[in-house]
Amino acid sequence: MPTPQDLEPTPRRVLNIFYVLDTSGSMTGTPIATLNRAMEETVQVLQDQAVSNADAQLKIGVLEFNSGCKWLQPNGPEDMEDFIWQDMSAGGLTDMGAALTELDDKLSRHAFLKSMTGAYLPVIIFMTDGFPTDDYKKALAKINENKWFRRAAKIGFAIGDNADTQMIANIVGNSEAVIRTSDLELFARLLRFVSVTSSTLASQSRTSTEALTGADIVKSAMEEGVIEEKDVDHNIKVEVTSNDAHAVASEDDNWDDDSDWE
Amino acid sequence: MVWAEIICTEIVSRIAVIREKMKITDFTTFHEVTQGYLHITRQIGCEDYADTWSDPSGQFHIAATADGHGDPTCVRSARGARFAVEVALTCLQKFARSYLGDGEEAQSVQEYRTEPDNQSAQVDNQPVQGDNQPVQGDRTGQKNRPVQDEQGTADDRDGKNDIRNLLQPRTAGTELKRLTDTMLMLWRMKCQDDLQESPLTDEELTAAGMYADYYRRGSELAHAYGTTLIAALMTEQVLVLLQQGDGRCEVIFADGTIDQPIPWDPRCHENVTTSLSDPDAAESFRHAVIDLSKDPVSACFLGSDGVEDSFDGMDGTHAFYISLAHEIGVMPREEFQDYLHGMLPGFSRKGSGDDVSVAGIVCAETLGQYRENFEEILQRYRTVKETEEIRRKLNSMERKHRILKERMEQTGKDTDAEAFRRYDERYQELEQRYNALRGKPDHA
Repeated sequence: MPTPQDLEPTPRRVLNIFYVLDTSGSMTGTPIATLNRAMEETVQVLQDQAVSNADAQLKIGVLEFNSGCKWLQPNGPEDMEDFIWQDMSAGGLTDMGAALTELDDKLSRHAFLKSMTGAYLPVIIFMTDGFPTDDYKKALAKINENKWFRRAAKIGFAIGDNADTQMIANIVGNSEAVIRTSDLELFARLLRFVSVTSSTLASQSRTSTEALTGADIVKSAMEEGVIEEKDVDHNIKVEVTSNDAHAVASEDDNWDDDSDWE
Repeated sequence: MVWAEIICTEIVSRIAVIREKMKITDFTTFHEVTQGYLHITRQIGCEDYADTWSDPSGQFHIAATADGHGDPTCVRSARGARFAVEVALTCLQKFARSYLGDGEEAQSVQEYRTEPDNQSAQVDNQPVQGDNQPVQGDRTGQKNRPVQDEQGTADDRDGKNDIRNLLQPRTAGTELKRLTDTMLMLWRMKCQDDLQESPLTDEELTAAGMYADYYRRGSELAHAYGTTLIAALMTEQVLVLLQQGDGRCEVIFADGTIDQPIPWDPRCHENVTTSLSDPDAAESFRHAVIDLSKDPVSACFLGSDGVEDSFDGMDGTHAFYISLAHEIGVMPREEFQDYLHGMLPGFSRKGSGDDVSVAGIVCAETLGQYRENFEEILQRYRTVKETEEIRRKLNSMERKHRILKERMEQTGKDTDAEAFRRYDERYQELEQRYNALRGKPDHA
């Protein structure tokens, strides 16, 4: 006879980790090869961690963007144990706007976040090596109305000297959550570290006023000595882009007061 | 899964018997509150409250639950929830006795049935930090003022105190509006008294954030005690249900159907709720009155949103209360209370993490007769959920399954073949289980 505790089959709270990865033409050669290897190694570490994480059921979604965007997993985020990395190839433009629009569409209970009762807020990791080739600001204004996006812990990687760090800072909402590096090997290590740290910290219970931020994760990386102060540009001024006057997450945002969790 | 029609033929034939046999004295009450798992980890106290009351003469039962807001600016919402339930029990007792008591007793409880002045401002302009200011506003003039309605004054209404009058929508609207107005007034008075006795501390003002300035000026103080409220009064003839805010009232009728009779307020969604502290709380109270002679009830459950938020859909909430109904029907009362006390903390941990409060007015004997039906319903629910979970897992495995297969076919390596074989074994097992479940009868 099922008891109320048995009525729901999912015992652990879900933690979604999304990667939004630039696979434009400028990533051709060593950069895309490094990215592929970094993701493969990162996933391996996350899979090991998923087994031992008693509190969170880790799921992963990968969205690549170049001329348009495409999910690696059309069915939506996969359980970490079911994820297998498929090497990506580089080519095309840098349609960050398209990626944000697609992400906005899928960050919804009616789409990829169908079973989010009691779930942890997602972690979203962005990576780019260039400048956007579409109107990302319009898409950013729209996605900033999406409360899953607003509350997610967001970290940005700006790879190489030509990366638009301002864009990445605007997207993640905080210059302290942006890591810039031209060292691809360092990027690979950082991607692994940030992913593992995110999944660990995000699945720890927090109050609504202490929600995990990308800046927390970057700070953790600095404390561990994985990155240095110079890898974070504190001078970037985030340009808030939103259609909703109340859309920007603030310190006073309260989980219990939120509405329209689509 | 169609929850409104869980009628089995054997139940239909028993309805007449049940209707005839079920008396108000066959009903008992229960209530339980558990601090939410996340409240424990965040070191926030429990902000839910629940209580029940059964008339010693056996004429009526009352149940009430309240959920104090988790908003940090509602610094005393736990107290607000307790006050709400206390007021509900007091007022509903008097309300019931005004209809069911004998003449002398009924007269003596007319005192609470007053036409309140605009009391919404009473809680404001109170001392915030122990500065010995006198209580503002005068509530002493509110007693002994007769009720006025389209039927004349209360004193004129000899022989018109039939509780079945509440089944007339207009009468229910008038009488229950008076009742809830009174409840609101008394709730605000309790908050006012609490502030007078114990002004807001510096710590509370700091926690109040943007409301601190309001509170210091002595305004919006009811917000500090913000809470929801659901209350039920069951007599032999009627079941009266009242609600402000979220949470659910789930009623299991004697014919086996389940319903949530109280109209919903669309302003309550996700983590947003209306409140006793809202300026329009008086106007936005919701109610329902059920004629028990036509629609006898086996159980009436009240629960805070800590229950509902533990499930992805309302079918989970229905299943939760059905499972409680089942346990009530098979366990002695004390054992059920122990069961509930032991079960709710784990339920909160695996589900919403929120405080969970449940209360009920139930007929254990009738519920016991439906034991097998409840087991069937719950087994169907579990089947549906298991099917959904397997489908989700198969979707999660689909891509890797395809890639491993392609890899095996391309490389011909033993290692790749073994990797695919192991993964495919699990995949096939799930697919077979999924197909078997889908093949079961009554799958929704």
